Amino acid sequence: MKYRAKVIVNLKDKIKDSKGEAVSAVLKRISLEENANVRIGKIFELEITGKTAEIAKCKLQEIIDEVLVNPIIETSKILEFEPLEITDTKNEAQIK
Amino acid sequence: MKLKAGIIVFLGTNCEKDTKIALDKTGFKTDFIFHTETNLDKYDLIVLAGGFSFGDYIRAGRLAKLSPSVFALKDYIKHKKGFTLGICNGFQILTEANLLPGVLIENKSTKFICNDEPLIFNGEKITLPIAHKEGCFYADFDTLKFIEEKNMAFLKYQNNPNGSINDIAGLYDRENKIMGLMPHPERAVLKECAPNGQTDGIKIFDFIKEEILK
Repeated sequence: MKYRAKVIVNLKDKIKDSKGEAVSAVLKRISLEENANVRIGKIFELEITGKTAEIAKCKLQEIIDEVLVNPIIETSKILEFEPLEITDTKNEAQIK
Repeated sequence: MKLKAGIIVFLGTNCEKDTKIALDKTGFKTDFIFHTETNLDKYDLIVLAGGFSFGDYIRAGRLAKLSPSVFALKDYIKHKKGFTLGICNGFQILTEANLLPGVLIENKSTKFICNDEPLIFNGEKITLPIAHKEGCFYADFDTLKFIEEKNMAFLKYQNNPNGSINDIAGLYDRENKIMGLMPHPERAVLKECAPNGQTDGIKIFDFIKEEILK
């Protein structure tokens, strides 16, 4: 079974986010928000295979810990995790 | 007999040739090793050179730490086969692989800094070039305490150009013989290209040689 996941990785609050600060400063300058406290993160979208959702989720967690995140400075959150819809490509081609 | 050094070349490493020239000049016999290599045991020194391994994707050093050669390096260190040196991106790889404590984050100024920096190396004032965007050393309180207790911060900035905590420019784990530094000693070995002709980089390589021969 295949699953599609979306993971967000952010800098921890105590780590200076210079890019976020730059965006906050611009928002303030154009008078849209006085103190936006912008934090910029990264979003990863990926496909995971696993016999069950639980197994796939374990695998995803391992990917997050081993590859996507440095726990000293970053945190992560799984935003989405859902089975991938299997499209019948043969049928689709016929319809087209 | 000459000491043998191996420079691991990842996709995106770009300082391997300068490093080889520096190592050869300081008396090593140097090979390039592709990052898929799985046995490093014949070398006295393994060097992770500067550059942008795997394009610095995800974050600097993050993907390189999963290379077969880095797994082999962990074995090499565990069995005390020799000395490990990480320069710039190499230092980032060593921290990402948990071979040295702490982490390198974006410079406080957010800018790529390319400068000749005055440093304190084991109590002596030297100058080495730096060239990085993610060279700001960061560690939490307990890790910093550990670094200070083990006297690991062998190289410190005099003017702290990137916001590194405690002015740390380089770490040396004396027990496991692992050294990482953000400045580029290999760019201060030949008189023609060293900052003001000051070949202070040789001092770093000579120190490493002494440590290997200890």
